[in-house]
Amino acid sequence: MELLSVKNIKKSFDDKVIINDISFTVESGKIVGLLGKNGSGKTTIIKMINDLLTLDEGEILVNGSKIGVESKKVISYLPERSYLEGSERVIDIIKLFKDFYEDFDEQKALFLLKDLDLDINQKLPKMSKGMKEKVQLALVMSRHAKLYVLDEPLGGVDPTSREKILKTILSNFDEGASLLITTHLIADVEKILDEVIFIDGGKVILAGEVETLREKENASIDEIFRRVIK
Amino acid sequence: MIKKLLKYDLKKMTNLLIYLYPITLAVALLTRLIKLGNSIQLIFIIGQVFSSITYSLVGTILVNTFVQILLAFNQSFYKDQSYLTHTLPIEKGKLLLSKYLSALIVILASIIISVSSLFIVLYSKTLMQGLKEMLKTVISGFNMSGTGFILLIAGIIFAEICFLISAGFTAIVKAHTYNEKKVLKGLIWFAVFYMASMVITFIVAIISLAISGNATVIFAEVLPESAFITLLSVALVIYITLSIACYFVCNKLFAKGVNVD
Amino acid sequence: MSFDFKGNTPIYLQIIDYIKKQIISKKYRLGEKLPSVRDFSMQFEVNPNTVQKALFELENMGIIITESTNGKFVTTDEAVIEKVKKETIEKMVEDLYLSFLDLGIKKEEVIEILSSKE
Repeated sequence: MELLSVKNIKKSFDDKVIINDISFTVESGKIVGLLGKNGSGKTTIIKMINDLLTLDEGEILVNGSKIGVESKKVISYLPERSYLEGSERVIDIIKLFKDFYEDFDEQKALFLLKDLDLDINQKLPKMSKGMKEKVQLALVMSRHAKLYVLDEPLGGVDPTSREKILKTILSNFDEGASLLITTHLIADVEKILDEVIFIDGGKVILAGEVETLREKENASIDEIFRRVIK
Repeated sequence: MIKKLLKYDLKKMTNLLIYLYPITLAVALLTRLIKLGNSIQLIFIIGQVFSSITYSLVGTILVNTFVQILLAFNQSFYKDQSYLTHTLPIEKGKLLLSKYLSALIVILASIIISVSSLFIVLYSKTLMQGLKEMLKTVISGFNMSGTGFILLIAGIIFAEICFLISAGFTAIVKAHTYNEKKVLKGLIWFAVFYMASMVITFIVAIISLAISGNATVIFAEVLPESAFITLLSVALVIYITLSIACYFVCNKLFAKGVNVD
Repeated sequence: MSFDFKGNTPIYLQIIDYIKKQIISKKYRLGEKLPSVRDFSMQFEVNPNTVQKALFELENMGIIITESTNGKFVTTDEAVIEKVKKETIEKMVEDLYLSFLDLGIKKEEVIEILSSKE
């Protein structure tokens, strides 16, 4: 079943074309990597899926409905930047998630935060960027969502934490749920992906099943990426 | 849902005011106490200093009310926090309504705290007597009750602040329909809304004066009392209407979707 | 345990290989219950669908069997395991032989080298 369907979307900023006719789908139960260099348009696509940017053209459907309240109920989104501002503590954000997301699992959040060595009573301004990212990841993975959209989940963490983050992601998404991950650290994530979509210059350059691509090209996804995207 | 949203919006808009309110009230009370010893020269001077502190605190409250409300609005809808705000499963209309309602509440609270603080510092029998006398002479010409007059003035001040906030919100939303120079465009749109409100007020005032039969007073040096009341009522109605109009414009622009940085 | 996969071969084939070797070396015994898909996926840090595919292939080869409610088990049929063992050894020898040939080492030398190992 198609959980996410992106059809012929376009987006320009001041006559500069950022997304030029992109289409793809994410089937339920699949882990899909949206891969591209910085500035390739990955984050723009993610922001459009999450109602943070309007579409110039095209359509995005999530679980059959257009972007809106219904799509937001089933998408759990990890942005590439931190929205944890203000003088609050981690526990206050947990309360906020509990207030607004019906599918939020507080026990799971508390468990994950502990597992990632985070203190729920710590004040947010006293946290490093990496810690804030872990807090957000724990919150996002604590929702029983249908589609997890993770924008550069390994971006701000040190290489030694990457494995832990990947494990947290893998072990915490519900069966039948899908994952859309953007990253430029392809070597780190390629073994968890079902499918990849290569983006460059606002266009899809290559898309397909990871195992098929590996077999066909006799190369890792990381190598294939470097071959097709200069 | 609106209740939950209000809780968070009020918290954001008052994160500074929540400290300013009790401090201002406390300083006002302290000033009052110091003034009890007015007969001693030194204490009189200290009393004067404390009075000035209270006044500047009241000024700070009023400025901060305006700034904090607009800042909270901008941050929640267009800065880093927008990544959370817009991905909550809530209709855009409700998000906006909550901002308007919490702004109203904060404005009311700030006015009440400010007036109370001034009252605590300034209250005296002679002052009240003086005010009463003044009111009497004013309203004698107006054919209006004293409370009615005070309510009218208070209403205008409240409506004007509401209009400024509503126009500010709309200017921020409008500025974010552009991709560049959002701050500058926000300020320009705010100026446009404000100018438009002045022009509309002026035109409507002339028309209503014309209808009530004394359009020529616009050019008179001293306004006759009846014309004065007409103008005040017109201003009140216009500010309320414009505030609501801005809300609808804002709602419509906002519903089209946002483009956050 | 972290697992190093070769980039240029499909991961499910590498998982099949790994599980076969575990069975041949008796780390997974005949009739023993295998870890769940999720456990494997955690252990290898790979996509659960990839593990699923590997287990599906293994089941087709008759190496593992599914008991609908209890999970997956290593087969109790020794003949199957023997066959797998033979195939695996043949494959390993073949690979080794080919790499020696690549280096220009003759068959006689290979035998000599191997027999000198204790």
